[in-house]
Amino acid sequence: MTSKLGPLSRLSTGQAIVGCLIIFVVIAAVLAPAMLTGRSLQNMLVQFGPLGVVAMGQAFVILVRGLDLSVATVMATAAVISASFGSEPSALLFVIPTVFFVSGTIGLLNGLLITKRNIEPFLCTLAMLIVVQGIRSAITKGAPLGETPAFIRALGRGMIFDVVPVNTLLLIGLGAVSAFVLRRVIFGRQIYLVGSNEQAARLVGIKNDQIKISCYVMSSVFAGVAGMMLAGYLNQVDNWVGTGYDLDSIVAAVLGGVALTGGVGGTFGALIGALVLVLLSNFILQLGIPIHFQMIMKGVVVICAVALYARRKETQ
Amino acid sequence: MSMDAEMSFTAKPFRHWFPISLVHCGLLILILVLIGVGAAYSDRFATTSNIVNVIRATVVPLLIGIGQTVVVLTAAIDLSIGAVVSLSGALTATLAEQDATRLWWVIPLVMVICMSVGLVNGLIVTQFRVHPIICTLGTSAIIQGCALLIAPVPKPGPTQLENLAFGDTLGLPNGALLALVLLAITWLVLRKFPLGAHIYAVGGDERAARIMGIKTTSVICMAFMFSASCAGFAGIYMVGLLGSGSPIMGQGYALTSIAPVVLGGTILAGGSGGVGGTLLAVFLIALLNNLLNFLQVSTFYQWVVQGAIILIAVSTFSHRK
Repeated sequence: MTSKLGPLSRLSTGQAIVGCLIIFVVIAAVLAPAMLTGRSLQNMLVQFGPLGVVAMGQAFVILVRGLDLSVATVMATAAVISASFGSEPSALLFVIPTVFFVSGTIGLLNGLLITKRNIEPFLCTLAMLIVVQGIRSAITKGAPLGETPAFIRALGRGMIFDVVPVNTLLLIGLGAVSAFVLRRVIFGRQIYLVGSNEQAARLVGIKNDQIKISCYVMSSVFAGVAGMMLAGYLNQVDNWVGTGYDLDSIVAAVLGGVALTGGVGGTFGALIGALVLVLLSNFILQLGIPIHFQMIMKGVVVICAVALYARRKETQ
Repeated sequence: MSMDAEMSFTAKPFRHWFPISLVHCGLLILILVLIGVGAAYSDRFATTSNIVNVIRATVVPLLIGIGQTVVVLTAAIDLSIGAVVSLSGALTATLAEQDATRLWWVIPLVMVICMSVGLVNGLIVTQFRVHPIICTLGTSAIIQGCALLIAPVPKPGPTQLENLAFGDTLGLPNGALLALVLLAITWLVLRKFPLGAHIYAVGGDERAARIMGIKTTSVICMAFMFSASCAGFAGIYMVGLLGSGSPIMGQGYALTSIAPVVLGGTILAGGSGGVGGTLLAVFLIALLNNLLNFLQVSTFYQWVVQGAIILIAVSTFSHRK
């Protein structure tokens, strides 16, 4: 067990990422103390909501060796839907079912094309992205839409007792349910088996295609929920809400130890990854560095994370 | 006996010395059908000026499609092409500052920068074992960020570059001629040079290629450098076409570059296909977009058509393999 990384390679991936988080918070506290005040923390939690939800969905897909590049467009579609039934409270009865139906259908199509027609996941979701974007823009005629109903606004930026954002509670709820499903429910264990060894999974009688399709549906529905959160946060909705969340969700999941080779990691890791990403983005803002550096930082982080995890796997 | 063995080596089947396949035939038939439909719909469709328009529209997709084909042949993929186009456009407009006398050093410099981006991609993929999709997704975020830092808003480029986009030689647009020359060179290298054989070998089975003594690292790096320089040239061309360099002008071009590759029969798993199919597919897509313009279908539905074509094409080919 001689490895180039020394004692670090003995840490589990989960311990490593939590360690990174702690070290990072300490650095932030020294260099940008304003970042860790109440108001700023609250702000970060509000941003953490949508990203955390998408990252969990992305984690499900990556667990079965997939990749979902269509999450950003699903978010935009959900945002457009939440603004297109007017701002009366009754709009809620139409908004939520429509968002679930549309995002679920997109996920189902992705899953069916990837499993039954054998398309590469990244290409299928990339092509689906432009199809959905075209249909959405054609329906809205490319123009910005109106306001969102009060419930969606509450979902986006509402606070409980002026302390905890509503979307953080929803995020924790979704996180707890998906962690329980992945660890304790048969379906969750089947996801890991399909992701780590497809042939073995088939031999023990698991319907691989069904598992994969449900992961893609879940990723899309999670993206739909995140889109509603983001629409409520922004209140004014246009066709491009959620741009960049495709890369962000992948960065968060990978950073949180979800292996691109499938079958390793979980939604908890993806949440920690998303938290690190939100902290990093705010850190860059606090230091007064131009905002475009955020993109550069995300690119560097994802490549380094994947390279480091690949290295760890080789040494262990 | 020895005679027979020799015969089987020298007597190549028809398609080996005339590289046309079923996919090429299908694409040609589709192109003819589209021209027929267009000509039946409008008198102005099959005119020389409209076909020159279509050819002009093929230049950028052809340039980036050729680069992407070579990368896909090595069983990798380059999603950073769009960001490189943006970077090259932003750099060209910023460095040249509407001064045509600077172009003699700006263009080589931009090309070298783009090539080094490709080299970095190749090194990350081969040395750090990062999957090409994630590597190029990450580098495209980095490059896009750099492009936005260099030119936060679109900047006007030198007007002399317009000659590249709008001037013509012997009735063909200059850009199209350059793209065709690039295509011919790439075809020649892929088919007739050892490097081409190495590219196919690496794409077919990287391990086997390495055992055979092929320097797989340098082959993959060269493929990425080639695709990045194609994208860089496409960016310079677009500065001429649009009259300015915008930091986001390559947005969505990753898909634009992959579409003709998969439609032209190059398989994403690598080692099979070529640039001939890419040329036909680029022309087919441009013709289809032109026809949809004639039918007054909005750009939004054109996106839908583009995505649907890719999904249909890939689901057909992946089953054939």
